[in-house]
Amino acid sequence: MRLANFILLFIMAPFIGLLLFFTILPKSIQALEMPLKSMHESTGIIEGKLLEIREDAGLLSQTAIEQERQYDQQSKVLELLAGKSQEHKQLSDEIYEERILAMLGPPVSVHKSGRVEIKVFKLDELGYRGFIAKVKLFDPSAFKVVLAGDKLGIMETTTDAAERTGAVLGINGGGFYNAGAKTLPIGNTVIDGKLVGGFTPADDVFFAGTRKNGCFIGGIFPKKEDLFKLDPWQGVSFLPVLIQQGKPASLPGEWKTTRQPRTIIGEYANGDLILIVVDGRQSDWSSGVTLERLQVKLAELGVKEGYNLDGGGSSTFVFRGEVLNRPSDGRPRPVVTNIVIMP
Amino acid sequence: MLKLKKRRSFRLNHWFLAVVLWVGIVFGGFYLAKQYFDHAIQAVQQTNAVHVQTLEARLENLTLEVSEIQKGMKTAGRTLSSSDSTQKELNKKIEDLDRQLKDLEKSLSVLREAPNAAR
Repeated sequence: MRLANFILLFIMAPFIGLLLFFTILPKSIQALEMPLKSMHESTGIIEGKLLEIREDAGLLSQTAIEQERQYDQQSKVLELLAGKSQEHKQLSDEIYEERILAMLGPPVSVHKSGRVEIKVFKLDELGYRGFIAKVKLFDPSAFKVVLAGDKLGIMETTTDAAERTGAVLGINGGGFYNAGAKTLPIGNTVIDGKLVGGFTPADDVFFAGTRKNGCFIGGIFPKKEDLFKLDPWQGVSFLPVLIQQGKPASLPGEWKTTRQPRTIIGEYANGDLILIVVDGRQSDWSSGVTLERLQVKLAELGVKEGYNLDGGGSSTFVFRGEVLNRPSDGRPRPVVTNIVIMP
Repeated sequence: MLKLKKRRSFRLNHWFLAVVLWVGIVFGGFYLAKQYFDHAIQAVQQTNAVHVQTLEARLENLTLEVSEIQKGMKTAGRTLSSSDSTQKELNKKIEDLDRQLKDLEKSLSVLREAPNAAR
């Protein structure tokens, strides 16, 4: 019996092995499968995210394109507005120029270059005559103050100064006085940004001239720093101030009612300079003008700033090498400073 | 003696048959197991191959998507860069216009001071 059991077990052994094999093997085989399910899930998530990113990128691109389109549109509108603004400014400037010229009458002579435009007008009023130059500076360096012979202490006529410097226009400059053998300018004279001599503080003598950029400056400067705060480039001194900010300034009593030859420097509201020379002391030609009447005339002409330069026999107006006015001495008087306009 | 011999021969035959049967069963079992194993492996290989192909296709799709996003971002970047320069230009134009308007304002205030206007 024991033998039979042994034989049976012996015979059954392979079946038991097979049974065990079939029981265990499938699990091992399943383990060979790649864990792709989770990879698919991850890929799906990435795909979803990428789709979102793509949509966002598209939206961003669209927004940028729309923004650029709007910028372009705004740019065109701005260009249009700038053009209109420019046109209106030009129109406004032209109207102003026309009104000034309407008050001055037709010019007797005109000089125009890339540096400057000069229009010369005759001044023919009741009792006095003279000449006016309206100067538009394109290059500020065309306006110059020159010492007689470029030296301090000597004198020179406006004609000689204009000829020596090659200027197209010249008028006499600031006042002067005799100091022994020398003749020196009154107040402060500035040439090319440098003060000629020392600073002279004053409570009535003005300084009038231009800055380096050609803008007109004028006023009474008791302190040197007050004057140099304005960065003066060219200028002369005398008295009195006639018009400031378009309004007549109060005149010293002794200057009000005397009729004399006059030389005036001033500025229009648009920055153009006005240079006036009035003849006097010649009853058959021109008796001269009082500063009060001159103030009225300057106001009529629309002058914003007006300063009385050295007058009397010094008043000389030279244009293109020719003395246009009639100086009261019968010929140009030598002076210490002249104002010249280069061609 | 003959009986004993016959009995021994019978036993020997039985043992021989048992061994042959045992070998046959073992061989059959081995064969079946091999078949099953091969089939199972093949099935796993097939499944894996299909999954890998699918995955490859999806990854290729993803690469295309990424490339398109990259292209879109580059376009957006270029547009934004262009917009930036346009905006700077716009700011400059606004400043220019502001300056021109100030000039116009100044010119109009000058015009107000014109001789005819004062009258």
